[in-house]
Amino acid sequence: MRTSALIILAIAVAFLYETAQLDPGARRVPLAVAVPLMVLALLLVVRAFSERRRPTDTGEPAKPLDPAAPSSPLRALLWVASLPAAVFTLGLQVGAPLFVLLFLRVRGRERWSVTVVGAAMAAAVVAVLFRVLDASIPTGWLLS
Amino acid sequence: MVASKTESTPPWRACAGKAVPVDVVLSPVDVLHAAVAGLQLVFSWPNILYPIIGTLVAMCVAVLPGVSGATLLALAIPLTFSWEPLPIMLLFGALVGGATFMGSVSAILLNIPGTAPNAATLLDGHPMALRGQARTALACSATASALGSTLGVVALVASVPLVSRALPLVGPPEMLVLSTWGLLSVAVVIRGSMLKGLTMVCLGLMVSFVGLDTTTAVVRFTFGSLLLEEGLSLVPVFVGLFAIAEIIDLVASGRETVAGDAGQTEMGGSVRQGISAVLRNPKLLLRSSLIGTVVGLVPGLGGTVAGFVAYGDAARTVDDDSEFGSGDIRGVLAPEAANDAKDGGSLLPALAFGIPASTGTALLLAALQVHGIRPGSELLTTQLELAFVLIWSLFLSNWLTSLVGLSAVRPLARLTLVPTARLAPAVLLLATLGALSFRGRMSDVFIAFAFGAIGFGMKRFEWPRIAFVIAFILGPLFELNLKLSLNLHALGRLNLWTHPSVVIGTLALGVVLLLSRRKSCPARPS
Repeated sequence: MRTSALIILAIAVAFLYETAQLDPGARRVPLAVAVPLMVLALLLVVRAFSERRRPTDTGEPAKPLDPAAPSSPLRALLWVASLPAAVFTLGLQVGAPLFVLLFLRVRGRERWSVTVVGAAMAAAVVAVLFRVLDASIPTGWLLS
Repeated sequence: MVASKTESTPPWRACAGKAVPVDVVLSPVDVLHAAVAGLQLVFSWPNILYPIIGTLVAMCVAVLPGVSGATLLALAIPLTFSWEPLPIMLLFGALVGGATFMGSVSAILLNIPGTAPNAATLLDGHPMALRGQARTALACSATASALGSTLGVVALVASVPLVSRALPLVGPPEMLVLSTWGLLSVAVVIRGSMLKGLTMVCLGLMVSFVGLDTTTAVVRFTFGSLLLEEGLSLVPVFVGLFAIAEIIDLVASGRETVAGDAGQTEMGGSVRQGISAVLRNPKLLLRSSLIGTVVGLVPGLGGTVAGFVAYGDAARTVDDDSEFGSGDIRGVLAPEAANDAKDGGSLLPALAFGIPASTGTALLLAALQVHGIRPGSELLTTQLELAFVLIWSLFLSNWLTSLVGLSAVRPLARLTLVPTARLAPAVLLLATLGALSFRGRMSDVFIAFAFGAIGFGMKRFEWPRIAFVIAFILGPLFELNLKLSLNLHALGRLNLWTHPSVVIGTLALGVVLLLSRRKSCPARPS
């Protein structure tokens, strides 16, 4: 609660600052929203820091996020973020099947047969979709 | 008022093979004609394939706990970008309607609601399944869903002539009150903290302001990024918030399969008993459907509230409530009827004013906007057939889901055993392709994944996504009508006494806020 309230406050400050930089005509409506957002974010922070920390179900304080844990949110985020990273660097035709291959084999511990079929299907879906859309498949930063 | 006719034949009318002119001010007969024309369009070949395929796909997705119908809708928007309006209406009506009943299958069999609105069903549905009456509970759920949705659609159709007559009277001040009502009601009625709800509404509005302001030609809130100058498109934002965020959550949960450790129960009981239980309780069915329809009208409440309100009403009003919570079939009937009836209710503000009342209608409006279909006066007058195509498609899919779902419960329930490791890359790949195929820009993929992470954070920290989404959709409408109203006022052309609906709407808004505030305050000692 504390972390998320501080994040919201930071976003509210950024929006209020940007609103203040606008021309008077353009900032009329955003200001009417940014000021209440700032007030609400401050209230949230005050409430988050004034209430006692909730213990976990076992009565112990909540543990910090551990990226090495098999089901860690950070690990999940990293896995998911690797797809746009792979597509950006290697292009869709190479990056997407590579992501599927690695996800199935490393994260899912699937058999090689399932992994290879999954990656081949990903490559086929990409090729067919872009053929249907009559669009060029984006090439990656490394391969362009 | 002078009636005007449509000049050209829109594509969906051409599909029917004939042009049916519709008056701008509609009589009940016009509405009936449009309803029949819409029905003919839905049941003509090959149009009928769209709702059937849409329903079957929605059924397969909605039965998976954690991967909601909203995920499917978000993925479908960019993938159908090049389609004509008619197939869009047919498909999206089916996707909205098809997802509703199937969530009850996993609720009854696995004690996991497929979608949040089915949470009330498991209170009595799963105990029935454990007692060997799974088939009875599912038959009751399917029948109540089909009949509840029918009553919701009847209420929607009956209100179309009234609403279409009122629409020409709605100007910028009225739209401002309506959009403010949508924004504030979603903030105050959603489950959890009102403070969080209001914060999410403000945040959603601010994010909707990102990009070029069309009235002043000033670029706002881009934080120096060229990517944001055109503003944030609905497609990557919704793909991120609903498809990618759900998959991050699923991967982070560490579940081997979508259903987790829940074991399946044996299929026992009788379909006839389930159907007759609904027919033996017509009052409960009507009351629950009415609750669902009314709750559906209010932005932010949605099926979860409809289900629990109807469940609570049933528990309070039935003669013998001793079995409630431990396998009373009326505890399945009431939430399922309400949950499906709310679809009809939530379509009315969406089609008439462009105000989404639920996540499903928010995504539906996004799809309509992407395809250039504007809700409001035009859709409910000159394009009324198209609106009816959506309504009939929703209606058909509600019935189809109940019929097919009942006969194919066992194989559909087996879908919940799909490994997470196989589902996640497939959905992520579809999300990437959806974001990329929308405008062919890599930046949309980055925006989608960024909003995926934001949506995951919102889910983890219990920040209401629905409040953010409704504010994001209503943002441009709110800003435009606020500016127009202020300009009209500055020019001396806005007299509140000539707009009684504004005064009444503002007073109603105040009453709603006061009542919700009183509800959230602790009771004072007497």
